[in-house]
Amino acid sequence: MALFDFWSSRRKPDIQALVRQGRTLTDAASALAFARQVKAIFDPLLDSRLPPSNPANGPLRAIVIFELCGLIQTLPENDRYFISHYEKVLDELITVCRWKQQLSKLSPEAAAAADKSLQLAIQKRLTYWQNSQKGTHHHRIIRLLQPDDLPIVARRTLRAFVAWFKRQKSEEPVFWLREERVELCFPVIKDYFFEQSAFWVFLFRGPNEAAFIDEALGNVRGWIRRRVIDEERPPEPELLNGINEIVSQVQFDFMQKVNGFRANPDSFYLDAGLTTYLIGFVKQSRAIWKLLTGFYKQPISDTEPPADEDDAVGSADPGDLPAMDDTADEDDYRYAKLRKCMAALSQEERDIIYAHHDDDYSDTVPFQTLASRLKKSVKSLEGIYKRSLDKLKICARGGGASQHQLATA
Amino acid sequence: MTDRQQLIRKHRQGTLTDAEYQEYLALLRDDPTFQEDVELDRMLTQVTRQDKNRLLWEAVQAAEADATVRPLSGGSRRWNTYAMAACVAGLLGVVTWLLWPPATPELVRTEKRDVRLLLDETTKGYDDYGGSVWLRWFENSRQQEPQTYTFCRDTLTVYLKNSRDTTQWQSVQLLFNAEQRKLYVQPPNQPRRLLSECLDTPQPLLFTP
Repeated sequence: MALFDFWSSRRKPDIQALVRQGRTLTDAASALAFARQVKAIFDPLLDSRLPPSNPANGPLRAIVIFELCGLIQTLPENDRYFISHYEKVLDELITVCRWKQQLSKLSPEAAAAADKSLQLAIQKRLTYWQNSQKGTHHHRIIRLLQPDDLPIVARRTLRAFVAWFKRQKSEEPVFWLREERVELCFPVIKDYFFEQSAFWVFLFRGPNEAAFIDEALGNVRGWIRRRVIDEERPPEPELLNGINEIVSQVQFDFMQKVNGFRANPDSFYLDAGLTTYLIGFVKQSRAIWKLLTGFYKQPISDTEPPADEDDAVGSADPGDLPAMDDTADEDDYRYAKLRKCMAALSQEERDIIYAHHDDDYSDTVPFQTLASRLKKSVKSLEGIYKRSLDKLKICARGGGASQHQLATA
Repeated sequence: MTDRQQLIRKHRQGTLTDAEYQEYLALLRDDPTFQEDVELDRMLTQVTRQDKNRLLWEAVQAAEADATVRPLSGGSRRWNTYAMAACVAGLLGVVTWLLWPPATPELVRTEKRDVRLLLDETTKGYDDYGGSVWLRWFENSRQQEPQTYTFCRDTLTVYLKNSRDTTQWQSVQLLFNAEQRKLYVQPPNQPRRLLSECLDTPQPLLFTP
């Protein structure tokens, strides 16, 4: 009988237990135990689909296991589909992982065309948002799209995701299981999903719906401020005027270009966030160098100012995305600095920040939920969180983090 | 949580109303400290996510390395017998594989495909959604036919001699006759073909997509 039990348990892996295990990863040890368990269960299934005898399958198998770990972690609490259909989900996952594996070699356009199922999933999500009765800003904007617009916006969203993914330097699981299909994690594509919808509405369905441009300009303003304003002393009015002029110039120039896009939408793809795109224009502009000479706290770039004599902001050709890699590098630098600042916080403060922002790609974990987990009151958690943010802000403004800086924050 | 933090959180979730979005934009434009809060929130979410993903990636790499080189411990000696037996079985398997085609087909692609409802058999009109089926393509270079299939329950499995033929399947329609509970495939400009259900062996597909 023991032998029978053994074979029975080997044939029916406890997927439910695996899903439970995936929800409780807190450190390297628990993550390793989970990854081993995923491998133990799914390696035999992979052997029949991607035989290990073929050396070309090795990297793909590693990607599939990594994505499986991510997919299991992000399953909704009430999901039963994966538990009963895990072999089919695995098959679907292998297909999209094959696509993911090829992304580095493909252009955004070719990559978006290579997998119709992911584009279709985005299109279905657009339809879902259109049919929802919710009264949010994004719902209203998406409802302005016409049926013919949906595949176009879905394709543009997928292109923007691919362009982002190609710039990524860290490994990231990008798929999850929703509505019984493997699709791109919505939080990973969310910003592009909203922005591409708003951009298309602005171009063809509602010329007054330009709020998404204001948001990007607000971020551009913040980006310039971080570079030119010295936190130690109040900014001079002339400097603030200079910043506003640059932002106005960026806005004017972008609006001019938009008219060209309207005439021929296929000539332009926003394969990045609009903020990144507009910051690229600012970086290429000679105007900013002229306006801000003498006010710099730090140079915008280590290289010489742009050589073109054109003072207009955004002199790049429509469709070109200027200086993207610089932006990604700059983000990496700022993340590294933030990590240093976080390392100087107390363990409790760090735990609360991580727990609050550890959203499993769904939502910020509310303090009400954390209160029972961390055995503290909601008010106390909110207070610690707010104090930690204040410390991080002070630390991030300065050159580095020291215990003294944080203690006096 | 302050109203400003609520605004930032709702913006991250994409749940701001029009009025709240206008308030958010005004603060972003006029209040540098709000812009700083927005940026810090974005970075914290990114850093948390990146750190968590790195932990998982390293765990998967370590688990892969475990599987590649796992030393034999004293306690695992009794498994040596099984390992030896597995080797012999493996050798037999290789010989069988070499002498007895077809080899194990390799999965090429899977997708869930929508099916159109065949409304009127006589007019060949179809314009409605009829559910979805799983479509799986396997490559089997040793099979004689260019394409064979099995169809059972909600899964159509296609075995291809050449995996490149999957691209031609993008234009093939799947049609469902709800009255007779029959599934058809229809390539462009070709008559539709009825699929046989739940047969033991793969059946040839008598068309070239």
